[in-house]
Amino acid sequence: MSSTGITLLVAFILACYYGFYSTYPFMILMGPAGMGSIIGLIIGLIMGDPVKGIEVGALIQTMYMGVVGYGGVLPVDQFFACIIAIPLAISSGMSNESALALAAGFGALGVMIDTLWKTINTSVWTPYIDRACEKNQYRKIAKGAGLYPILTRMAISVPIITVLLFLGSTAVNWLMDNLPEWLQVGFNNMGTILPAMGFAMFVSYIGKKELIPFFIIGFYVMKFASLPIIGMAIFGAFIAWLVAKTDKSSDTEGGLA
Amino acid sequence: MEENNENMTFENSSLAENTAVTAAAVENTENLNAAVENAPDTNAAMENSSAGSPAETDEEQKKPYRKIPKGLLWRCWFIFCFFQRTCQCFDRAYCNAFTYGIMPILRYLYKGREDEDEQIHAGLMRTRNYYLCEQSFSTVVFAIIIGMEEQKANGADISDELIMATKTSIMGPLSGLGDAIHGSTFRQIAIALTIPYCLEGSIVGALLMLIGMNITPWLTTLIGFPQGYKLGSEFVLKLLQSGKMQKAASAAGLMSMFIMGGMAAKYANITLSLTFKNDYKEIKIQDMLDNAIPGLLTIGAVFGFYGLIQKKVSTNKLILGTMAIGIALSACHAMGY
Repeated sequence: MSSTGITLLVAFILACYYGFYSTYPFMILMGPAGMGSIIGLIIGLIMGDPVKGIEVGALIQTMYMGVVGYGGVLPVDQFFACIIAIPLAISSGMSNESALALAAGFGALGVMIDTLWKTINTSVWTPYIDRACEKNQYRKIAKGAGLYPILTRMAISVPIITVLLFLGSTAVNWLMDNLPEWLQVGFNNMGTILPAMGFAMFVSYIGKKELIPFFIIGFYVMKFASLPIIGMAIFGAFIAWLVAKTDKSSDTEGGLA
Repeated sequence: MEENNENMTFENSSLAENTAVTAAAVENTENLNAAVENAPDTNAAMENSSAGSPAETDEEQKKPYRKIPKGLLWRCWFIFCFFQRTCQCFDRAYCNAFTYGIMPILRYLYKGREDEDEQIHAGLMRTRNYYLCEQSFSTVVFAIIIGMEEQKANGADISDELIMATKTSIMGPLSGLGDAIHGSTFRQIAIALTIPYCLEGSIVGALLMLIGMNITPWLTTLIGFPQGYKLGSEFVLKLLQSGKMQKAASAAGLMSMFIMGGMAAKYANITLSLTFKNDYKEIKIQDMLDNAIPGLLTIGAVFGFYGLIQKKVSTNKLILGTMAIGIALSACHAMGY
């Protein structure tokens, strides 16, 4: 392997990180399995370049903004997109936008793994627990609900990711050298447009049409004044307070709530 | 115990009024009505059991009230939290974690009884139906069910159906509340405040995001779990009927919308590189657009995507479509050069 490649060991460690955390253990601690920036930090620490890891992870996160898989439905597997794109971006030094385009492609593959895993849970492990409940077999219940599904997920995903990362860095390096310019620029364009989709998802996730004007206000305040984020927060809090206040005084109009 | 009972009866009297308010506040939950109607029964049952009607006094003396120790309670909290999603499935969602989490408690409650095995079996079977809830409020639901199981094990007249109906009816509204408070407001604010630093590769930014996102869920579970266990289903009814919570969530939603708008302006920047040349000069399309309405393409793209998402176009199709457009724009040198 070339010096920029990912060694088999690192690929395997990264694959295990995905295999274990993609079952969402200790779900109340949000982040290690859901948010690009934090995944990027962890991957970056494993690979020795946390700064680049966070950069790419945050970019992937903006693409999937608002898609966090609440209610158990996962439209895209942000974690899988990250675990492929971030290591490759770190090892091959490709541009962040190209990494984003790469991630978008793999997000879909992750959903397939996720669906396969849930199908196995549904048709194998849940009936297994049902049978254990019939006979009060406590150990079987514990293993069926915890250990076995985690091992299943790892068995599905670890080989795929290890191979993708190990071969991928070579393949990606080769591609970056040989890809025609129009295609590379095309992927970069895609990476430029996709964050807009992330913000659109955020808007539809909030799900309140009455609040859309405030998104546009925020957009143009930033466009013209380019405030630091803390300034935006102060303005936002103040506007929210004003609206809540006027809302209270004129209940007849229905208001925002 | 007796003091507790007095509180229960005192609050019981106002429960009838509360019921109406709650039902009005929470729409779309048929089950909730059933639970609300059942709630007074529960409390009545609790009263009977722990105050002890004369007929039961003998039994009470033989079997002192078996309370779940704190250590066990939090151990089960950990099990439930840790394995909540590890065995999620399509048909019953997170029910497996519920079974696993409540198992040690059932074993403790019925330990040494004559009908130990049957009772534990029945208790486990009560958890085998559909269960889905947002992860932090899920612990509140869990705590309430533990509270009910404890009452039941100590002789209260709580039927299997009541426990299952309570679980099914409170998980929906609480889940909605959880998604509204954590999912679409506080967590989004935390992300909005820290993602600019993350985009620049700041380690502190990523750590702050991790901490910020976890504040409200942890507060919910650390306060809600013991409270839910203590007060039972009454706690939820109280929580749902206080409109303040919804108002705060709405204000926070507005704020995160505003900040995200700013983020879009800063980080989604779509520009065209298309130029027209004639004999005299070069005209850049982007300059013309910037003079007319700045950021038109970006905000147009955001709401274009928004329209498609509203039409339930799948994310994968959107990504593939974007790829096609990106390559097409590159092929005709309209963007990215």
